[in-house]
Amino acid sequence: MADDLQVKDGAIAALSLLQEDFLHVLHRLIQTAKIHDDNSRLLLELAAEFVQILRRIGAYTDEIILQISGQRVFLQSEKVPYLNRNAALLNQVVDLLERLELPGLRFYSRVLEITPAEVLALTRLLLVAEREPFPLLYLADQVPAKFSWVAVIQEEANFAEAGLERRERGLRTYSQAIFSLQDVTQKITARKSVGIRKAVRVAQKMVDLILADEPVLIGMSTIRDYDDYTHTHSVNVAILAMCLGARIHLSPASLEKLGICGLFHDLGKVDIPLEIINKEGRLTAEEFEEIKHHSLNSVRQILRLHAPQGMKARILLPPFEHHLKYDLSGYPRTSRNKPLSLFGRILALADVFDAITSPRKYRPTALSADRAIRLMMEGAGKDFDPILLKVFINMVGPYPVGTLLELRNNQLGLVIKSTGKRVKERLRPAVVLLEADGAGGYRKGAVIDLGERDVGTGDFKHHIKQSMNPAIYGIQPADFIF
Amino acid sequence: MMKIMAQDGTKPSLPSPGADELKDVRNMVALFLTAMKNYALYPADHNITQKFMSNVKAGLEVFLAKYGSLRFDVVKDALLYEGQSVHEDRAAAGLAFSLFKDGITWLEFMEGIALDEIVAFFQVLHTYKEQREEAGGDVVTALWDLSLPHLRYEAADVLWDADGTLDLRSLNRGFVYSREMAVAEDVDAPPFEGMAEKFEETQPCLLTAVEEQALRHMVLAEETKETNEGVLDVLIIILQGQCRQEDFETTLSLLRDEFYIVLAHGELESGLNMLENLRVLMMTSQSATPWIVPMLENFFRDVSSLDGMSGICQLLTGLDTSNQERCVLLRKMLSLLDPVAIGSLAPLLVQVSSPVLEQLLHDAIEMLAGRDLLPLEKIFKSADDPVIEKLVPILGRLPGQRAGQTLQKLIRHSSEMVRRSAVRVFLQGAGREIREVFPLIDDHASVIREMAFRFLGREKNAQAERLLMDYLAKSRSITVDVNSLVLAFDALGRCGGLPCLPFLRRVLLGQGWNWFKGFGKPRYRRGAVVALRRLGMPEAEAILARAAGSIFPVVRSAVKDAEV
Repeated sequence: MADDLQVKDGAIAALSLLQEDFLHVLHRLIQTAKIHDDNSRLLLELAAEFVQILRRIGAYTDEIILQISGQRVFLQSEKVPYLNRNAALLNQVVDLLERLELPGLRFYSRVLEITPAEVLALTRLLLVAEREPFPLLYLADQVPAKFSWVAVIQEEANFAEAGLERRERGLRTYSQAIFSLQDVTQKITARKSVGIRKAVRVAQKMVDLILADEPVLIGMSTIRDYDDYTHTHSVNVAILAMCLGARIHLSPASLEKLGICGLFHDLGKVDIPLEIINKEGRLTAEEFEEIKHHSLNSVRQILRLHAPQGMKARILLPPFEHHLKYDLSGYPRTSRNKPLSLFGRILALADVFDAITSPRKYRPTALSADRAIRLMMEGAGKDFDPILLKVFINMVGPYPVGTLLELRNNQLGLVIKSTGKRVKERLRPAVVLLEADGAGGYRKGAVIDLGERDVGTGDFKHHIKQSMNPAIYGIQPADFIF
Repeated sequence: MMKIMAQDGTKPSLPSPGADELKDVRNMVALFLTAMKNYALYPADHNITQKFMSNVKAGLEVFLAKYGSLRFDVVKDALLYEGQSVHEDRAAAGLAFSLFKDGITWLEFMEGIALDEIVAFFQVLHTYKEQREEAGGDVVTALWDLSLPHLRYEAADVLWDADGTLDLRSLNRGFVYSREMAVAEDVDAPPFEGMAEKFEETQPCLLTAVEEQALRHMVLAEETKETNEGVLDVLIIILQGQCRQEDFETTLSLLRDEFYIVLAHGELESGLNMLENLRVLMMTSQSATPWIVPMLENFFRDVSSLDGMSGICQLLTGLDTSNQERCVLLRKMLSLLDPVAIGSLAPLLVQVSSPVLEQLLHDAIEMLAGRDLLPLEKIFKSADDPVIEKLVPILGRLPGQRAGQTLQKLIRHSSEMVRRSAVRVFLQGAGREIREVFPLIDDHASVIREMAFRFLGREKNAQAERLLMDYLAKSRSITVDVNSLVLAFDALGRCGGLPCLPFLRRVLLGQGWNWFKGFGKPRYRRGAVVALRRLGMPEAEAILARAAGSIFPVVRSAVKDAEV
């Protein structure tokens, strides 16, 4: 038994050292095979390198198991931790396996005897599968027939406990972000000096979380607090912006800065009189003019923060730009006439999406995500960067967590899980049914998967009629999600 | 065998370390402490600091090769290794507390750690050794940013312990939904039935290959950009509307840093634009917000100081002079600086080889010195002779008495090179008086004497004629070299007229006993011949004819020798 443990420990240690190499070479192998034929020296070298890595790992263990679950990569059932240096690689591996609809691969002990040519053959098969309508089915059929040293894992492993732990971490981080912002604004209001240490820590934690489990934090961004709109809005914008940044493979360091931009983008609102901020109903033209100062005031407030100069310089432009549109209309109007920065364009998307999907004191109603998306699509190329808008829509999907849906059978369902990297996979999310509690409110009912098909007919069991405004039903989505 | 750490950071149960292992760990801690202490005492690039960093690396290499990894658990005033205390400190800036205060719970050095990782680690410890309430970061944020591949750690949420977690269910309890209002407003937003199907059918958000590539480019540009593009513009906008002095100063400080960064990356246009805007701001603020003016003046002095100018100087020395556009931008930028920039620009005159660049520098220095001569005067006092020589022509082009006085001083400079340049410039100047120039005929340097004589003889001038006669008469009693004597006679011939004829006749034909000792010397007679010929007057020709037929061989030979 002790020996077994030692062997397992040895495998983990070896994998710990080799896992990045393993993933890196695997990814490069597939990317290279897309553009080079089998005679390519580069490709042959990569295949040989991959064989070497497999052999080195195989020396410790009978089988090597690569899996994805919840958009995390697992080797030997151990999650590969997201670090600054490997985040992009892990995302790419997840992307790759998701494109193949492949939950995992299992390499057997025979792997010690394979040749580079066999590795290339597997690579080609994976590339063919990528173009198939049902990649997983294709692989499940072809791999056993052609290779004895590798098997397709067809079921996604459930590492639910890790998910739960991340959800708790998500909520804790979300809370910390809110507390940090409250702290900052209180100190600004009291004209005290303000450091950004907490905000930086929060942003870094958010990056770690997003890279580990994007849906958890996206789900958090549905939290609405109408009494403290600015703080929840800022945190939501930070989350959405960082998630979009992660989608386009920005580095963790950039995501951190982007998150801080999101947290501080509305800092200038502390200078707006409370009677305007809290006014119910429409703002007058003068009041709106006052509101329009807040982008510049945010920059002023950021300049006052205790932060390294380099950090300030990096985070002040996007808050300045966040109400400027892609065609440079919007505000503040200045003589500056240059294209918006990437962060500015991301922030603008996140800001508008969260704003129009959040009820406010002066506008209690809010658009559901699908309506918001449709509205935003009309502004592609004019209000928003059209490419980023597409990625953003792919990211949030029409029915993100917190969306209230009316089903064709007139049931109400609140989206509680909307996973998958592609929008297609999130068009039919999991919902918790809401049942009238007889006292004018609602209680949680059964959880159903809208993607579930009838075994007999193959048709979807449930259909969405339309998204609804939770305010109409007096529903606070967070009550049913967390 | 390598010790295995679980991914969650918990330690496997392993036997307690032996005495030797603990001793090795304590030795490592001692190396850490010494390195930390020296890092605080000396600059990072100092030999001593580097030596101790190398010691740590060497120590770690040996330790890690032997034990696989080095992991400390951090408690308030101690470091633990496998549960045993290996270091205790009570100092607020001690090793353990420096880590503990920011929430580090454990720290692990792994095999393969590089020297730059070790240096970075100590830099972080040094930067954040003190605990500040309102800081811009801490050990944890810095380590996260660095993402050192061979240094692992875990940090606790020490900043939020008291805050707990949001109770989401308590949110919005004070808000009363207006269902009617919501319904009424919702009418504007048409229902969007069948979105899922539409998305499935049309996939409107699928990126094309071109878009994928554009996206990759924009991300790459973001990740590789070296300057904060656009920040200068925004800071200028902020400054233009800034009414708090403290904020203005803060903004200027950031602006200065960014200016240096854009210059370091050769972004001339951004830098120029910023300087132009600040100059405009300075002008427009004179009446309404006069406190801005001295702040901006300070700013310009800062960026024009020796330290501040390093970026501009690099740009200048590396300038491709065939790029007209960049030359123009740089010329404009230099013209906007404070005159103290001359201190940095002047030495470049002897470093650059391109005439275009030299001219650019000359123009800039002249323009800046025109605003304030003092920095140029300082250079004249301290710079090397070749630099001063290059600068002297500028003085000749500057208006005002002070520039003239400075030039006069340089004419008396100890270096011949400088004097020559100064004299040349001086003599080229308009309205120079003979009496100012005349003393130069006694300069130590022959070339200066030549220039002075040439100046005196450039036109008919009674004053020059008189002074030269006087000089030649007195020269009998002083030592004058032959060449100067000839030049003096030549100048006299050019500037003189009838008044000098008696003098020249006497020199050439005079026979008194005293002539034998003085003017009687052959060179004087030859000089007189030269002067008489220059005069080109019938009276002078008559004297020469008489001399040619003289009974005295020395007189005849003087005429003859002068022909040669």
